[in-house]
Amino acid sequence: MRERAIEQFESIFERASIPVLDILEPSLRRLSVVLTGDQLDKTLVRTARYLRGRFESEVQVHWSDAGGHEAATAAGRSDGFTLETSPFESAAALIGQIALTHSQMVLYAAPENEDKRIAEADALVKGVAAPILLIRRPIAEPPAVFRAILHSLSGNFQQTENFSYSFGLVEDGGALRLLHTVDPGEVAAVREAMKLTTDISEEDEQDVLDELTRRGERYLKAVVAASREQPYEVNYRLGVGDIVEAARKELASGSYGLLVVGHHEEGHSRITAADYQLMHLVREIPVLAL
Amino acid sequence: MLAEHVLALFGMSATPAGAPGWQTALFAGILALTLGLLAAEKIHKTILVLLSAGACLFLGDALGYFPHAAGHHLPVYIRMIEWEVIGIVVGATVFVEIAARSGVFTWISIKVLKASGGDPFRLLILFSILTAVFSAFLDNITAMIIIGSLTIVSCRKLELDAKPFLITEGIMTNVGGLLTLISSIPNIIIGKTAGISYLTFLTVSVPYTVFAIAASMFVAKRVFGKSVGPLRDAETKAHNRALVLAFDEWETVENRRFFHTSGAAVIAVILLFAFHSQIPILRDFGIEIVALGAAVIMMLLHAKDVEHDLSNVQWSLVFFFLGLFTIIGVMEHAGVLLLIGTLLDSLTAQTGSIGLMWLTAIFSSVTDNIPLAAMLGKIFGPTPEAAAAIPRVQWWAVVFGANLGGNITPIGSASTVVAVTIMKKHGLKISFLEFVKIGAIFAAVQLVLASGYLWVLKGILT
Repeated sequence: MRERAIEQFESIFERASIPVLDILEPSLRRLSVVLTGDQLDKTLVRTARYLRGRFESEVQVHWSDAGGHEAATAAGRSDGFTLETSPFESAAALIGQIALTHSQMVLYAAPENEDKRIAEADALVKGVAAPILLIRRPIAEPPAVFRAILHSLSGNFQQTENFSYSFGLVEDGGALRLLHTVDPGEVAAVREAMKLTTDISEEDEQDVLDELTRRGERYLKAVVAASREQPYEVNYRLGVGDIVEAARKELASGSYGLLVVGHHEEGHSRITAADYQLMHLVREIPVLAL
Repeated sequence: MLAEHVLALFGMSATPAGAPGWQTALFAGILALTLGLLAAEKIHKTILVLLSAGACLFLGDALGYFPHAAGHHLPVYIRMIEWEVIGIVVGATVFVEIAARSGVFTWISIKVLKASGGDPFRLLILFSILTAVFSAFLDNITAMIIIGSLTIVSCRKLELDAKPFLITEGIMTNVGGLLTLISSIPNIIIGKTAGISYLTFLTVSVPYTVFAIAASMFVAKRVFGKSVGPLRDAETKAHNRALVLAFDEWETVENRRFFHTSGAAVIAVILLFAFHSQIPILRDFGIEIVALGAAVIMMLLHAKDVEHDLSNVQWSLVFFFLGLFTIIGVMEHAGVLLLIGTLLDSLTAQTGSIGLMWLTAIFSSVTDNIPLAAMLGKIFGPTPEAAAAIPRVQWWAVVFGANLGGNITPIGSASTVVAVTIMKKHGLKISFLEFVKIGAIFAAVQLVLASGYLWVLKGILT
């Protein structure tokens, strides 16, 4: 009886013992900007200029034959950016160029055209280890992008590295909101995939969801706690349901400047189906695909 | 013959209760056997006491101790039972169980952990104070389980040896057990017998408890040395601070509404206990009505699982009381209590209440302090008039001795047993002798302090 009570209280306190995370801000000393002669080239250059000012970065400009050279030359002249000696002719060539520069973030104007998007943007996100900042609308004031950030967490979100970019990019005095949902659909899918019994009761299903929610919340609290000394605010929202829907609702209800999706595992970018959906659905604000 | 010899030694041939000497000796033998078996812990104490009570009743009846009225009447053993004590135990247990489920006490514990900043010495002081305060309002076992569990988790995180903390906490539960009238069962029994109010009890006990905690901290620092010493290095201080600040007290609370209502109820009940003698109607009843009323209101407010709430009552303890009070009732009829009283008088003739306290403490260290307190209560105050005639300080001697004696050995009190259980569970070995070596130092300091306090009290209360 007493042993059981001791176990019970120990588990309560273990649960309350939030892990201490050490979230290091990323190094953004090397940036890559991809210019293609698109109307957004100016926005990319302006944003790169702003980031260089904040992180004292070296900026490498990659340009395409399609018309990027003119913008790249202008940027090189006025801002002291380094130009690639030759244009890239394909997504694969661009990925190769970026890999050689060891860029820590790539600024890229995502094409509206779907064929081009699949051929280039998706290939870039999958092929480049560094996060890609996808821009689809002109940005007049780059600091505004980093004042209010929404970080959508799906898949294996418990990777401390995931938060490095969000923490590093949010402006002093700004706010970062972490959004995570527990998806009952995913729970059912896992159960089926694991060939577990499908006829579990609603109560059991709810218990699983509650446990996942509790674990998620515990981790999110740890992330928030890690920001305690920072000059910006970090908070979280945790819900049940589809992360894509939740993110869209959240974006509609708040004035966010940037959406962060995806996660890193063993130095590689991992984009879940939900991240992919969000990456292309959200067009009004830039999306950082980790 | 032998019995008469023993009685003659104390100048008695037959007891004033009217029972012949051999009968007194017979029942004294039953009592000694019961207490001996209780100390040996070979048979469950409730079963043992109920068996002994049955034997006492049959023998007492056969010897014509109990008058049998014609028509409807209450069985004689019903009148022997101190129902107020049982009422307080049952009411307070249900109330505290529900309140504890709300997370009120775990929430406070984590707040206190955070306030320590992860510094071992501050942690020791704050956890000791918290243990004493919790023991005042919870039963000692629950208080020890809550704080002991947090101690294990936090020490693991802070990479500290949990043993010194657990030993000190086990000991502090008994110091905290002195704080209020309902902090421990001996307090309830003696308070009820002597007619001490909750507020009066608090007024007398608080100064001593404060001194005892301070002295115990000094002892802990000397006994445990570096393992509970304050941190010097700024980097380690910052690291430990971050570790304890990472605890989230709200993780222990499942329902905030339940938490807030329980918190308010705990405060309200403490106030009702303190001022019940000044509240019209309520003052016409005993303090057990506050405890039972609080339990009923809590069950009403959180009526989700009343069956479970009631199952948490320590029914074995309730049956233990039924048996114990019956035994004591029969012993009174048989003149055994008077005999023990005479014995006590002769033993403490020179030392007075201070001697009584030390004697009570020594008995409490090896046997259950509940029967001891119940017996002493009945010996000194068989009737309210007799109880009122006893010097107040004598009652306090029993209270101090019964509570503090449990600190001498690991089996001296239920909370030290829990502390040792937690240590064993986590591979922190402590032998009986090792505990006695440490516990005896604490108990000696506390008892010396209590001796001085009783001496001061004697001057004030007479």
